[in-house]
Amino acid sequence: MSTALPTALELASAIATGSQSACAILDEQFARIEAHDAQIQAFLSLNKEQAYASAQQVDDQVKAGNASTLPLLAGVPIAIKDNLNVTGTKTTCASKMLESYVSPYDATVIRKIKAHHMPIVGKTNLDEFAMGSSCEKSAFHPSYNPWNTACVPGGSSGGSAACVSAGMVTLSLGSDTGGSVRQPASLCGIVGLKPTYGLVSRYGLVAFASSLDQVSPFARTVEDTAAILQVIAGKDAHDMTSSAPAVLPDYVASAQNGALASQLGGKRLRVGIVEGFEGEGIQAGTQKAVSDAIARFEGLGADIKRISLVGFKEAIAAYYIIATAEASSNLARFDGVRYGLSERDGVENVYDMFAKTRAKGFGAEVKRRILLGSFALSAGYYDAYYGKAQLARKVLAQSFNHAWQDVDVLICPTSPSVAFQLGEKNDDPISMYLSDVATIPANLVGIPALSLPCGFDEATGLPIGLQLMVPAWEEEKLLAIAYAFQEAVGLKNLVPPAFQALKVTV
Amino acid sequence: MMNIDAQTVKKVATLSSLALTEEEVQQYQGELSKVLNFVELLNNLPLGEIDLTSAADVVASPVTPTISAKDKTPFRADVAEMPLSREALMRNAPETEDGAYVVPNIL
Repeated sequence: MSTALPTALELASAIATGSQSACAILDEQFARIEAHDAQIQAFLSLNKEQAYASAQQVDDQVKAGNASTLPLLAGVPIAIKDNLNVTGTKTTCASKMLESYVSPYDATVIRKIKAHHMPIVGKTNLDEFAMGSSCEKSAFHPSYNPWNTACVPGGSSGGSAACVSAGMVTLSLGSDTGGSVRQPASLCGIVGLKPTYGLVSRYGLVAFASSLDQVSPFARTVEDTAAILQVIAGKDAHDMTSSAPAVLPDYVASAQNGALASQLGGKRLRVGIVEGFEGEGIQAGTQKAVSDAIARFEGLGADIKRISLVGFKEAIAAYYIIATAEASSNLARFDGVRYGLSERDGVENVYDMFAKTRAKGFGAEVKRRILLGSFALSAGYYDAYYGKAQLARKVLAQSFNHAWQDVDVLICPTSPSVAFQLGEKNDDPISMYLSDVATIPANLVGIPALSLPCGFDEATGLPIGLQLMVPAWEEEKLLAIAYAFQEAVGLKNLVPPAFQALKVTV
Repeated sequence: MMNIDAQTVKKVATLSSLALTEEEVQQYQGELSKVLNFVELLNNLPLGEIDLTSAADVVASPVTPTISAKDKTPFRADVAEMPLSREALMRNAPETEDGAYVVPNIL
């Protein structure tokens, strides 16, 4: 089901060879946004002026004969989740609290994207403050899944996933705290990569849970994913938790033929299947797609082993304590004093202003998580909840470290089900939380994990994502494995049929 | 079973600086109890054997003291940098006066 829509690397090459101008490509991407976004509602704001200025710079360079000195992905349009600061644009976090907030600075990843002359087309929708798994918890409007608009695109980075899936852009950035990039990538039939904690700077990302958050890219191919990772990765003096190597590996070189063999140094690939995803709670179509994926890996000459990870299933419980505890602290900054909403009418004093501002500005899910986090950190409950969750995190790290002695990569479905209908999981927070059961462990232990399409559900026709996890700092190997799998399964650059008509020419 | 009462919800709301209506207190009382019961899953794990301060199993995160083997305690040079201007930082403020934030009575 591949389409004629070009990939990011194809666009970059068309620009560099002069066969297409960056401005003309931007025209076509904006035409696609105008044609399709009324239906998908992926964007919260567009950024035409800045985007065209950036594209024009690239075209001027090409005209001046400097095409060979253009940086990677120069001129390729990108969309940005609306919890990343871009100077002079609104950064709302899809919250009434920040509805009118205009960023006074660039996040480090945005600075890098601008240094690569990538036009930023706009800011995308999310669950408020990145808290959710469906994009329905945006304070402004939901976004819709391009494969079936009665379904959610997943979340929290639902807008960033949907706009790549519908071909409105080839690349976007989201943030992944418990699966907020991998789960929507899975539900939208695209690729989502959460890098190792620390590989990408969090400076300028509005913090949700600081020990788990990681800026993470979306693309429609593994090659494009590698290219955008190359742009955004790197140690940053503004984020003391960033700890990437001084010289970055060549990620682009990892996503091509022969890369896996050289990564493995002549040895056979050892694949571990995470146990616990065969039975109850996992859709039949998803189970079938994963067993087909296992057969693909066997076809690639891999040794397959079943791995039981102690603490994998329980990780979600630890996550909802640790993430909410950190959120309760991070979101304390929204107090109506320095920026954002401020409720001043009829308030008795400053404390009353804090409480009423926060009551008015935050949605129900955000309030629920702040309350849970404050509870878990409060006197008398700290050891029983927060302390215990930290111990569980360590148990999980031990399990993974043990598993890496036997396997190169661990696989499981990214999501227990394909995209669900809007409203389907709204009544019960736990059922929504369980969408992230397979993605949360990678955040808790900090390892990189990638979701890519592995098949379609026969019953619904919706795409299914496979999650690959590797040890920390092994993004090269992860990309090489993902690329080999992508080529074997033949599912790449997927765009749903309804969004293929309007072409982007290169 | 962990069931939290209305008083606990109100106390936590005060700690969180969140004004809640009575209906919200009731709603969160039920929902938080549900989530806390779900969290009981953690009791299935062998947590007694874990030493949080040991560096044996590294989590790539700042929560444990060992961030990663090659990059232990990060330091930066103590060099002054020019921050954003006061005007740029205060442009989003709800109310300012003479370069200061205006808030309701503190006392």
